Amino acid sequence: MKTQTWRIRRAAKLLRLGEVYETIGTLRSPFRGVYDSWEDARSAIPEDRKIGYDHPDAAPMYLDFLDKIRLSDYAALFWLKSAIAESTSVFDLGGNVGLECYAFQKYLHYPGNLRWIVCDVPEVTRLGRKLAQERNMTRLVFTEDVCQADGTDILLTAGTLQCMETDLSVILSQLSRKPRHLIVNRVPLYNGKAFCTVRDLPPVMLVYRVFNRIEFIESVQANGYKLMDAWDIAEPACGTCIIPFHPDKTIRNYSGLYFRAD
Amino acid sequence: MTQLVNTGADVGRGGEAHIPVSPFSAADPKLIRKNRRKALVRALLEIGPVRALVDLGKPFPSYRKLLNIGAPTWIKYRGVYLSFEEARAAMPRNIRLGYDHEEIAGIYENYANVVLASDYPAILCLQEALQRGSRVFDFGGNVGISFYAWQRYLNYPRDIQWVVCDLLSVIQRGERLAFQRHEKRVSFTTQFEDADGFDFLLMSGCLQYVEPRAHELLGRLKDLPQHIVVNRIPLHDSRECVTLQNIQWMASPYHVFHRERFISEMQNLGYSLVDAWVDAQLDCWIPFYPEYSVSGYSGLYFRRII
Repeated sequence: MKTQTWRIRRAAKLLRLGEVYETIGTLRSPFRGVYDSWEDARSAIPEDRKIGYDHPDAAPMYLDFLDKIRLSDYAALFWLKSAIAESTSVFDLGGNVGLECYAFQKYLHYPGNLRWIVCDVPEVTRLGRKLAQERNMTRLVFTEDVCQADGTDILLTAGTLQCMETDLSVILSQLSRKPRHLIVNRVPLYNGKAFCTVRDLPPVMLVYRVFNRIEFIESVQANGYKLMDAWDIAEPACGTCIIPFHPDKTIRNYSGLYFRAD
Repeated sequence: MTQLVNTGADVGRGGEAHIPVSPFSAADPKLIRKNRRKALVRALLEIGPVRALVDLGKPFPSYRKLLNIGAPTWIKYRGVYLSFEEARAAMPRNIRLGYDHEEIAGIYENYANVVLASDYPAILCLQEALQRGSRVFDFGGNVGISFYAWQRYLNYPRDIQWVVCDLLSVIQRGERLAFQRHEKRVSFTTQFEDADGFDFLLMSGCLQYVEPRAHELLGRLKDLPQHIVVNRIPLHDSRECVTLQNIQWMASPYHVFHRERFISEMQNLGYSLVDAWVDAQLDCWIPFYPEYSVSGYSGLYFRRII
């Protein structure tokens, strides 16, 4: 009986059944292909598919998250809590319809004069403005221009930088008065070479970037920031990037980072 | 410039952070292989007809016994039992029971520098509570790992009193560590009853190993804590059971709680549920018993209202 079991296990090991199963499983992943540049990835998207979030049917995609908080938000909340007390403005890059502004109000005491500026694509901000009016959230302001981050106190961005062609460090370098606090949440960082891939997120497709951890951190530090904290994202739903047939490019945990300028 | 090790730097107090390496780091090749194997076996067992076949014999105790013994040794959770007693009786004879052994006591020491994603909600709760009181009772706190790891985030009040309650061999190690680190704010006990009169009770990843349930433990106290954070426990939406956890050195009976029942037991003691979170990375998969398996461990924050 024992030898029999051993033989079965040995055979399973030789056939690499676990690996084969995993590879088949990766086909269900919404990511496809590895490309060197944004343009290459973009040109790989079929012509009949819509690209990016700027479409009327893509805008309401995240409304399910309205008023909800995810585990990875708590780390951001922790740092935001002390930062917000001394601030008058938050610049929320890729903040959708203001999801964080609504969800965090249960946990944070917003100062009376706090402005929460959400920067997103026009279709999303249009929906956001409508919602803010309905919910009477007057501190919520919307913009499509990243340069509006100039002079704000806190820059918050969650799960957005990977969908943007412009680097965060480039945005920061254009600002004459940089935000003192910088909270970057849910970004795919890993130890290998940075690359682009394509994400199928019906009804749209996205060009999706994955950064090299050290390059990313050093590019922000070059703008005068200090890394104060880093955390792993423990949510498979919004924190893993698996690309079929590229096991070396697997990112099992996205990252969250908190920087401060002194 | 950037280091890839976590040395417990003074984060938040001027020092530059080091990038944390989680002990559950998914990049560990051994863990990747293990998870791969687990995923395959799990998928095979959850094929409809296979599952139906396995379920056929479940009403018979001897068949259930066979299922529990038949699972290979690398499987962490095995068997479904009604009580701790039944689980203990079903345990293989040559294996040690529980965590109270000298060589096991040290395995969590490395965690004293690590903060997990599910620690942040607990840190937030504690931060708020520390504004009003400074006596923390850390049940199952090992060698004081939370105390050390969290001091990077929380400016502990000077008069903080942090009492860790754990098993004898573990706290002996904790006392040694505190002595080495010249840490006088943390002290140790083996008696839960010492929690009497504390402001904040932290129970992280430990209630599942303890036979009395949370409300039974709390029932022993005369003066209940104002704040309770229960973190990283397996809460099931519709069932509850006791299983056997099997890790390299030992086996231990292990509770899987019914969510509603757990919360209502706390509410009966005068607590209200303020916040709840789920760490989707942790799971309790019991082979042959998918109906009892839990994916995602829970954290709960209770505040006393009466």
